[in-house]
Amino acid sequence: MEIKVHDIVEFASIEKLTDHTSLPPWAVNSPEAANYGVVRRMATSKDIVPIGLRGKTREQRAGTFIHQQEILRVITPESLINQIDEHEQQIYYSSLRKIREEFLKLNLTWGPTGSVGFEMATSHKVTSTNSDIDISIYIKDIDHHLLVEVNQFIDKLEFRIDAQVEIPQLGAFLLNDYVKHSESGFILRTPFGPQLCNVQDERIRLKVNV
Amino acid sequence: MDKLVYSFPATKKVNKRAHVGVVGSGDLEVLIEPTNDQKTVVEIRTGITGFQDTWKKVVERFVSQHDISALITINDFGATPGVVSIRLAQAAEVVTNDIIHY
Repeated sequence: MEIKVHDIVEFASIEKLTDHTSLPPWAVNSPEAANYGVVRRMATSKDIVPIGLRGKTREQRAGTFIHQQEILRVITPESLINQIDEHEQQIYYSSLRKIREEFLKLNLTWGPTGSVGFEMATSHKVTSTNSDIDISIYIKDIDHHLLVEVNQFIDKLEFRIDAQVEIPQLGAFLLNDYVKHSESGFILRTPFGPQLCNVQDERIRLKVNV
Repeated sequence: MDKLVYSFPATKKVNKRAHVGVVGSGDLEVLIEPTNDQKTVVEIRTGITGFQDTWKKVVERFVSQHDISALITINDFGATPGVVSIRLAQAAEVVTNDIIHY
């Protein structure tokens, strides 16, 4: 089973989680945290998946771990695209539909993450009217022109879209950070922590501060 | 919304402004403006409440490494301490790259 950052994992109950520290009281009682966690970016030993639990408010986040054996189902952000039309009543619906249409033309793999993705995957209401829309875009290599084009498209949408670009084996960056700062320095989020990088000759390089 | 303000004594003047970072989940904007007050004032605005202790540590670490008379404004969008430190260092590099280092 391949599990990646931002995937949502379902488990039978919160007792199935593996941790050496206790969870905060809100997490133990929170319906949002009872059966679902979101995979975090962190290097772990084999079969242990780092996940984050969420509660009602933005402050209610707790990092913990789950053994692969205890995972009942993995819901990927990409799979949620097929459910967009089930959320016609939601404030984020029209933006997601427009993104789906455009990204299909561009042949991009993507999916909703953050509160919108969590809500779509679990049916727990966690978005509010001022939630922005987080999405992940999955690409294999840096394609500068494509990323600039995608950023221009996203900027024109009425809702604030927070797009993160994921590159396998490497990590992720915020699309707007990359587009503005590909030469001066953008942050690549890796399993070993954030790194300041820049692009030279279409390759991502670590930027070492003197 | 939390607003945190920290102030530390400083001796070195800077002549430049810096603006680094972006508006986006897990990131922050850092603005550094020169002042004549012989202190570093750090003003943090964040939508994620309850992390005063972490902010204090990150800011103290930065100030221990960079002695600059400046107003540092931070707009936070849920950045991790690692991201905050990188952005602060990046901004400091912009404003201090004409200061002579010994």
